[in-house]
Amino acid sequence: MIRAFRGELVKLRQSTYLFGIAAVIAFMLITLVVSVTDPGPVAGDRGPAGLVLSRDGLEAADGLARSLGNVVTFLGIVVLALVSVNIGGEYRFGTIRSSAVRLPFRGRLLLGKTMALFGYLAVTVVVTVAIAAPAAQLMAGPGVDTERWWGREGVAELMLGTGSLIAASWAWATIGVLLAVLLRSAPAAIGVGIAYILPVEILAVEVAPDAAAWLPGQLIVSLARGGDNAAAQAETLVGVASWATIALVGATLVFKFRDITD
Amino acid sequence: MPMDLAVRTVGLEKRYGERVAVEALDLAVPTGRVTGFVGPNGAGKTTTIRMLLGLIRPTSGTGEVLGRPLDRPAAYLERVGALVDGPAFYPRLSGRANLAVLERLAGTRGGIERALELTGIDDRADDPVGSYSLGMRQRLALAAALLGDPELVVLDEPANGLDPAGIREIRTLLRRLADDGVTVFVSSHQLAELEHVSDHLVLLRAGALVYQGLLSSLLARRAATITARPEHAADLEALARIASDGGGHVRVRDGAVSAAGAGPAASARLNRSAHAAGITLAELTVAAPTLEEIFFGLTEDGAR
Ligand SMILES: Nc1ncnc2c1ncn2[C@@H]1O[C@H](COP(=O)(O)OP(=O)(O)O)[C@@H](O)[C@H]1O
Ligand SMILES: [Mg+2]
Repeated sequence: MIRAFRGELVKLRQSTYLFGIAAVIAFMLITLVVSVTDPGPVAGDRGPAGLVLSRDGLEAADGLARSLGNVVTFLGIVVLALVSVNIGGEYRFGTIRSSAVRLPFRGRLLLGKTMALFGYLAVTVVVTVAIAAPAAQLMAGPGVDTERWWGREGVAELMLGTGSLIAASWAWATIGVLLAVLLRSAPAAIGVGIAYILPVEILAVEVAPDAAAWLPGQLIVSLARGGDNAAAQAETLVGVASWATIALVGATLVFKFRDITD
Repeated sequence: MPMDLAVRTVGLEKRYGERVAVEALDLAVPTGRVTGFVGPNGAGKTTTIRMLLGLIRPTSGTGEVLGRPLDRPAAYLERVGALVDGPAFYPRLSGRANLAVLERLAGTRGGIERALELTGIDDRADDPVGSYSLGMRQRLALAAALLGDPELVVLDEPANGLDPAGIREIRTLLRRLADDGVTVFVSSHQLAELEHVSDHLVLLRAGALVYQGLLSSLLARRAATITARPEHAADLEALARIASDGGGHVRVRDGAVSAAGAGPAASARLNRSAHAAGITLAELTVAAPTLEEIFFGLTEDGAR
């Protein structure tokens, strides 16, 4: 697995992956404009664009972390696109053949690659937060009292929020891995993935609100947006981890036993 | 398995639904030689090679590669270098970086410079592969196959898209590999590309084996084509009759009689008989069959 991980690191030097970081940062800044400037007296759910906190909520210690978490849906779209391009590209360029001949343990090949992508995503989230946190302070302006963001509790919440975003990016990535392995094409995986996250899940929740408690996209979103209820968050994390495991195991099994004819 | 076979398969078969891509293939590829794997497009060469490399599972059949069972490819692939179905690279990475990915996957190191040098792409190694010509990508693919000092090199149509000079270079390289004791198994849909470099030949048609063995035995098996031109066109028919008595496939064309597949010494016999019948030959030539002719002869036999 370490072999596949190290091989993937060479590929991550491509400019696509720098653009990926830039895209996440850009989405984050757009999200923050919506989330931290000019808060109202009550919170408002903007669906995929996030949960805009009330003034009290925003000025709380976890106000910054929860606002940053609003990027999770956009983050999902970027992650799905990158992962699909990565794995779909292996099929498109035929590099899947030479890779599987050089590393015939297919499970290790796919998991090592996934681990490298995880590493890249963690760096992406950390860099994004490092830029977005001071930016949020600037955007909030003098009208919002941000003192508690930078207190002890606030910084702890920021770390936790960053961790949740990393976890969310990994979970999105596993869905991308599964779709890209199944469909063997970047455009197909991106299309299906985004169609699933946006219209399909959103409609499903409209029809059956209970589904929000277990649909993977809904769970990932709620993990990243955080909340006051630690027990509920822990449950969400378990749900996300379960889906991620299912996706990775499924992708690995398909990849392991399917002929490579591309 | 005798020690001198690098690849052996027994009844190897691959079906895609109803379609049989490779049928009951018994392969024997000798160690340390160049074996040409020839068949028209769609004959099943790539499918066979994919099975040997563990990329696809045979529908049935068994085999061994470098003494290890075919169904455990991980046990032998680290000693194998391959080019399957055309060069495959990340176009935005340089040639060198592409090789680095493969070397890291294989868990080896230090072979990149030598492979680049052997295949003569060292001066473009730092450019993105997307900017390479097809010929350069073929060479880079060859370099990739040579990483890690393999004992067996499997090359699927390495000459595709190369100009005659490039094809000659590849032949030289393959010969050099075999001289160093490396087993080379190389496919082509054109016999002419491999005719001058192969020691051993495997001919495939429609998924089935047509011939396998020494190139020289194959050449000996098929007799030459004799062309005899009588001095007077009026003697053509008589000459054709005489030629038919000698056996072989006789045709009259362009004022000459040609007899394909006649046995050895047939030309001397024809000359003598013609003379005895009072026919003077203005021309008598013996043309060795090209491998293409041999191949078509064999595959036509197979079709009957
Ligand atoms: N993945 C596949 N699905 C269905 N048929 C296939 C597949 N791969 C190859 N074939 C068929 O198997 C036959 C042999 O193909 P191939 O091995 O590529 O031949 P070659 O390499 O000699 O040109 C062809 O008829 C081809 O259409
Ligand atoms: Mg082929």
